[in-house]
Amino acid sequence: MKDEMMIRMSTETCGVLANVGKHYPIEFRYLHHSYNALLQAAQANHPADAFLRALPKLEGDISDVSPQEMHILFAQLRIALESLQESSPGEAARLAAAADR
Amino acid sequence: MRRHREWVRHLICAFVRDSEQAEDLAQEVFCRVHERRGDYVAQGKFTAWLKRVAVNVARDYLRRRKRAVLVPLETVENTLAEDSAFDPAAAFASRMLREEIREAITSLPQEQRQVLILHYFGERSVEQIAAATNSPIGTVKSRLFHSRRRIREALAAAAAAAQEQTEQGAKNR
Repeated sequence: MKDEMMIRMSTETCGVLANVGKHYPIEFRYLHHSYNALLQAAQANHPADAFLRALPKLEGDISDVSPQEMHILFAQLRIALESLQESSPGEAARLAAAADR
Repeated sequence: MRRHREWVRHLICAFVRDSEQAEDLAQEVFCRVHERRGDYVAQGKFTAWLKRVAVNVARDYLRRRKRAVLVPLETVENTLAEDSAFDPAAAFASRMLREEIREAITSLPQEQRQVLILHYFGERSVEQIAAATNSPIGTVKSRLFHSRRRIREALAAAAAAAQEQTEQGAKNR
Protein backbone atom coordinates (compact mmCIF):
# COMPACT_ATOMS: atom_id res chain seq x y z
CA MET A 1 0.00 0.00 0.00
CA LYS A 2 1.35 3.42 -0.87
CA ASP A 3 2.23 5.93 1.83
CA GLU A 4 -0.25 8.47 0.45
CA MET A 5 -3.11 6.01 0.87
CA MET A 6 -2.03 5.16 4.42
CA ILE A 7 -1.83 8.85 5.31
CA ARG A 8 -5.30 9.40 3.95
CA MET A 9 -6.71 6.42 5.85
CA SER A 10 -5.03 7.50 9.10
CA THR A 11 -6.25 11.08 8.68
CA GLU A 12 -9.83 10.03 8.02
CA THR A 13 -9.79 7.59 10.93
CA CYS A 14 -8.52 10.33 13.22
CA GLY A 15 -11.41 12.50 12.10
CA VAL A 16 -13.93 9.75 12.81
CA LEU A 17 -12.45 8.99 16.23
CA ALA A 18 -12.60 12.68 17.14
CA ASN A 19 -16.39 12.46 16.80
CA VAL A 20 -16.91 9.18 18.66
CA GLY A 21 -19.24 9.78 21.57
CA LYS A 22 -19.51 13.44 20.65
CA HIS A 23 -21.99 13.24 17.80
CA TYR A 24 -22.82 9.58 17.48
CA PRO A 25 -21.88 6.36 19.26
CA ILE A 26 -20.03 3.88 17.04
CA GLU A 27 -18.12 0.71 17.65
CA PHE A 28 -14.50 1.61 17.16
CA ARG A 29 -12.58 -1.29 18.67
CA TYR A 30 -12.39 -3.10 15.33
CA LEU A 31 -10.06 -0.30 14.30
CA HIS A 32 -7.17 -1.98 16.10
CA HIS A 33 -6.97 -4.42 13.18
CA SER A 34 -6.80 -1.50 10.75
CA TYR A 35 -4.15 0.21 12.81
CA ASN A 36 -1.95 -2.89 13.05
CA ALA A 37 -2.34 -3.53 9.32
CA LEU A 38 -1.42 0.04 8.42
CA LEU A 39 1.56 -0.02 10.77
CA GLN A 40 2.76 -3.29 9.30
CA ALA A 41 2.39 -1.97 5.76
CA ALA A 42 4.23 1.24 6.62
CA GLN A 43 7.08 -0.67 8.26
CA ALA A 44 7.26 -2.97 5.23
CA ASN A 45 7.58 0.10 2.97
CA HIS A 46 10.31 1.58 5.19
CA PRO A 47 12.01 -1.23 7.12
CA ALA A 48 14.94 0.91 8.29
CA ASP A 49 12.87 3.85 9.52
CA ALA A 50 13.46 4.54 13.23
CA PHE A 51 10.25 6.53 13.66
CA LEU A 52 8.03 3.74 12.33
CA ARG A 53 9.96 1.14 14.33
CA ALA A 54 9.20 3.12 17.49
CA LEU A 55 5.43 2.91 16.99
CA PRO A 56 3.62 0.31 19.09
CA LYS A 57 1.58 -2.58 17.75
CA LEU A 58 -1.74 -3.03 19.51
CA GLU A 59 -1.85 -6.50 21.02
CA GLY A 60 -3.52 -8.46 23.79
CA ASP A 61 -6.60 -7.18 25.63
CA ILE A 62 -7.73 -3.96 23.96
CA SER A 63 -11.06 -3.68 25.78
CA ASP A 64 -9.85 -0.73 27.87
CA VAL A 65 -8.49 1.25 24.93
CA SER A 66 -10.44 4.51 24.68
CA PRO A 67 -11.30 6.36 21.45
CA GLN A 68 -8.74 9.01 22.40
CA GLU A 69 -6.01 6.40 22.84
CA MET A 70 -6.87 4.82 19.51
CA HIS A 71 -6.74 8.31 18.02
CA ILE A 72 -3.23 8.84 19.39
CA LEU A 73 -2.03 5.63 17.71
CA PHE A 74 -3.31 6.74 14.32
CA ALA A 75 -2.02 10.28 14.88
CA GLN A 76 1.52 9.03 15.59
CA LEU A 77 1.42 6.94 12.44
CA ARG A 78 0.21 9.92 10.48
CA ILE A 79 3.04 12.12 11.77
CA ALA A 80 5.60 9.43 10.92
CA LEU A 81 4.34 8.97 7.37
CA GLU A 82 3.89 12.68 6.63
CA SER A 83 7.39 13.41 7.86
CA LEU A 84 8.73 10.59 5.67
CA GLN A 85 7.18 12.20 2.63
CA GLU A 86 9.03 15.39 3.44
CA SER A 87 12.37 13.72 4.11
CA SER A 88 13.49 13.55 0.50
CA PRO A 89 15.54 16.73 -0.21
CA GLY A 90 13.52 17.82 -3.25
CA GLU A 91 10.19 17.31 -1.50
CA ALA A 92 11.39 19.13 1.63
CA ALA A 93 12.47 22.19 -0.37
CA ARG A 94 9.19 22.25 -2.29
CA LEU A 95 7.07 21.99 0.85
CA ALA A 96 9.11 24.58 2.75
CA ALA A 97 8.71 27.02 -0.13
CA ALA A 98 4.97 26.37 -0.27
CA ALA A 99 4.61 26.88 3.50
CA ASP A 100 6.46 30.19 3.39
CA ARG A 101 4.24 31.62 0.63
CA MET B 1 -27.53 36.71 22.82
CA ARG B 2 -27.73 36.42 26.62
CA ARG B 3 -26.81 32.72 26.35
CA HIS B 4 -23.61 33.41 24.43
CA ARG B 5 -22.53 36.75 25.78
CA GLU B 6 -20.36 35.49 28.63
CA TRP B 7 -18.23 33.01 26.70
CA VAL B 8 -17.85 35.42 23.77
CA ARG B 9 -16.59 38.08 26.16
CA HIS B 10 -14.26 35.54 27.80
CA LEU B 11 -12.89 34.44 24.40
CA ILE B 12 -12.21 38.00 23.29
CA CYS B 13 -10.59 38.83 26.63
CA ALA B 14 -8.13 35.97 26.07
CA PHE B 15 -6.92 37.80 22.96
CA VAL B 16 -7.02 41.44 23.98
CA ARG B 17 -6.17 41.00 27.69
CA ASP B 18 -8.47 43.87 28.68
CA SER B 19 -11.83 43.02 30.26
CA GLU B 20 -13.42 46.43 29.61
CA GLN B 21 -12.37 46.40 25.98
CA ALA B 22 -13.58 42.81 25.71
CA GLU B 23 -17.03 43.93 26.85
CA ASP B 24 -17.17 46.56 24.08
CA LEU B 25 -15.88 44.13 21.49
CA ALA B 26 -18.42 41.49 22.53
CA GLN B 27 -21.11 44.07 21.77
CA GLU B 28 -19.49 44.59 18.36
CA VAL B 29 -19.61 40.81 17.77
CA PHE B 30 -23.36 40.69 18.26
CA CYS B 31 -23.84 43.75 16.05
CA ARG B 32 -21.90 41.97 13.30
CA VAL B 33 -23.89 38.79 13.83
CA HIS B 34 -27.12 40.76 13.45
CA GLU B 35 -25.88 42.54 10.30
CA ARG B 36 -24.56 39.33 8.73
CA ARG B 37 -27.24 36.93 9.89
CA GLY B 38 -27.96 36.21 6.24
CA ASP B 39 -24.43 34.81 5.89
CA TYR B 40 -25.01 32.02 8.38
CA VAL B 41 -25.91 28.77 6.64
CA ALA B 42 -27.77 26.48 9.02
CA GLN B 43 -25.57 23.43 8.34
CA GLY B 44 -22.84 23.82 10.88
CA LYS B 45 -22.99 24.74 14.54
CA PHE B 46 -24.07 28.29 15.29
CA THR B 47 -21.54 28.51 18.14
CA ALA B 48 -18.70 27.64 15.75
CA TRP B 49 -19.75 30.48 13.43
CA LEU B 50 -20.16 32.84 16.36
CA LYS B 51 -16.69 31.90 17.60
CA ARG B 52 -15.18 32.73 14.20
CA VAL B 53 -16.87 36.14 14.22
CA ALA B 54 -15.59 36.79 17.76
CA VAL B 55 -12.02 35.81 16.85
CA ASN B 56 -12.14 38.07 13.77
CA VAL B 57 -13.41 41.02 15.82
CA ALA B 58 -10.60 40.49 18.34
CA ARG B 59 -7.99 40.26 15.60
CA ASP B 60 -9.31 43.37 13.86
CA TYR B 61 -9.06 45.28 17.13
CA LEU B 62 -5.47 44.12 17.70
CA ARG B 63 -4.57 45.08 14.15
CA ARG B 64 -6.08 48.53 14.67
CA ARG B 65 -4.26 48.94 17.91
CA LYS B 66 -1.02 47.94 16.13
CA ARG B 67 0.26 46.16 19.15
CA ALA B 68 1.17 42.48 19.11
CA VAL B 69 -0.27 40.53 22.05
CA LEU B 70 1.33 37.18 22.72
CA VAL B 71 -1.38 34.63 23.36
CA PRO B 72 -0.25 32.16 26.04
CA LEU B 73 -0.19 28.50 25.07
CA GLU B 74 -2.61 27.56 27.84
CA THR B 75 -5.12 30.16 26.65
CA VAL B 76 -4.97 28.89 23.10
CA GLU B 77 -5.40 25.28 24.18
CA ASN B 78 -8.26 26.10 26.55
CA THR B 79 -9.97 28.18 23.88
CA LEU B 80 -9.73 25.48 21.23
CA ALA B 81 -10.57 22.63 23.61
CA GLU B 82 -13.96 24.08 24.53
CA ASP B 83 -15.93 22.18 21.97
CA SER B 84 -13.41 19.49 21.14
CA ALA B 85 -13.98 15.83 21.85
CA PHE B 86 -10.33 15.53 22.75
CA ASP B 87 -8.18 17.29 25.27
CA PRO B 88 -4.80 17.83 23.56
CA ALA B 89 -3.01 18.00 26.93
CA ALA B 90 -4.51 14.65 28.01
CA ALA B 91 -3.45 13.14 24.69
CA PHE B 92 0.09 14.26 25.32
CA ALA B 93 0.12 12.49 28.71
CA SER B 94 -1.45 9.29 27.36
CA ARG B 95 0.15 5.86 27.72
CA MET B 96 -0.34 5.30 23.97
CA LEU B 97 2.09 8.07 23.08
CA ARG B 98 5.51 6.48 22.84
CA GLU B 99 7.98 7.90 25.33
CA GLU B 100 10.57 8.61 22.64
CA ILE B 101 8.02 10.60 20.69
CA ARG B 102 6.81 12.43 23.78
CA GLU B 103 10.41 13.43 24.57
CA ALA B 104 10.95 14.59 21.00
CA ILE B 105 7.77 16.67 21.11
CA THR B 106 8.73 18.13 24.51
CA SER B 107 12.07 19.26 23.11
CA LEU B 108 10.42 21.23 20.29
CA PRO B 109 10.33 25.04 20.43
CA GLN B 110 7.06 26.16 22.04
CA GLU B 111 5.43 27.45 18.85
CA GLN B 112 6.14 24.21 16.99
CA ARG B 113 5.01 22.04 19.91
CA GLN B 114 1.81 24.02 20.22
CA VAL B 115 0.72 23.63 16.59
CA LEU B 116 1.76 19.97 16.42
CA ILE B 117 -0.28 19.00 19.48
CA LEU B 118 -3.30 21.04 18.41
CA HIS B 119 -3.23 19.72 14.84
CA TYR B 120 -2.53 16.03 15.38
CA PHE B 121 -3.90 15.40 18.87
CA GLY B 122 -6.55 18.10 18.98
CA GLU B 123 -7.76 17.56 15.38
CA ARG B 124 -7.66 21.27 14.71
CA SER B 125 -7.25 22.50 11.17
CA VAL B 126 -4.43 24.79 10.10
CA GLU B 127 -6.96 27.59 9.67
CA GLN B 128 -8.37 27.16 13.19
CA ILE B 129 -4.89 27.15 14.71
CA ALA B 130 -3.91 30.23 12.71
CA ALA B 131 -6.96 32.10 14.00
CA ALA B 132 -6.44 31.05 17.62
CA THR B 133 -2.71 31.88 17.65
CA ASN B 134 -3.07 35.09 15.64
CA SER B 135 -0.61 33.74 13.05
CA PRO B 136 -0.64 33.54 9.25
CA ILE B 137 -1.65 30.17 7.81
CA GLY B 138 1.73 29.86 6.13
CA THR B 139 3.45 30.22 9.49
CA VAL B 140 1.36 27.42 10.99
CA LYS B 141 2.16 25.16 8.03
CA SER B 142 5.84 25.99 8.34
CA ARG B 143 5.82 25.18 12.06
CA LEU B 144 4.15 21.85 11.39
CA PHE B 145 6.70 21.02 8.73
CA HIS B 146 9.65 21.84 10.99
CA SER B 147 8.14 20.07 14.00
CA ARG B 148 7.70 16.84 12.04
CA ARG B 149 11.24 17.06 10.73
CA ARG B 150 12.68 17.67 14.23
CA ILE B 151 10.80 14.71 15.71
CA ARG B 152 12.07 12.47 12.92
CA GLU B 153 15.64 13.66 13.45
CA ALA B 154 15.38 13.20 17.23
CA LEU B 155 14.13 9.63 16.85
CA ALA B 156 16.82 8.81 14.30
CA ALA B 157 19.50 10.17 16.67
CA ALA B 158 18.06 8.20 19.61
CA ALA B 159 17.99 5.00 17.54
CA ALA B 160 21.59 5.56 16.39
CA ALA B 161 22.72 6.15 19.98
CA ALA B 162 20.94 2.99 21.14
CA GLN B 163 22.53 1.00 18.31
CA GLU B 164 25.97 2.30 19.23
CA GLN B 165 25.45 1.32 22.85
CA THR B 166 24.40 -2.17 21.82
CA GLU B 167 27.46 -2.60 19.62
CA GLN B 168 29.72 -1.28 22.35
CA GLY B 169 28.17 -3.69 24.80
CA ALA B 170 28.72 -6.59 22.43
CA LYS B 171 32.39 -5.58 21.94
CA ASN B 172 33.01 -5.42 25.68
CA ARG B 173 31.84 -8.98 26.26
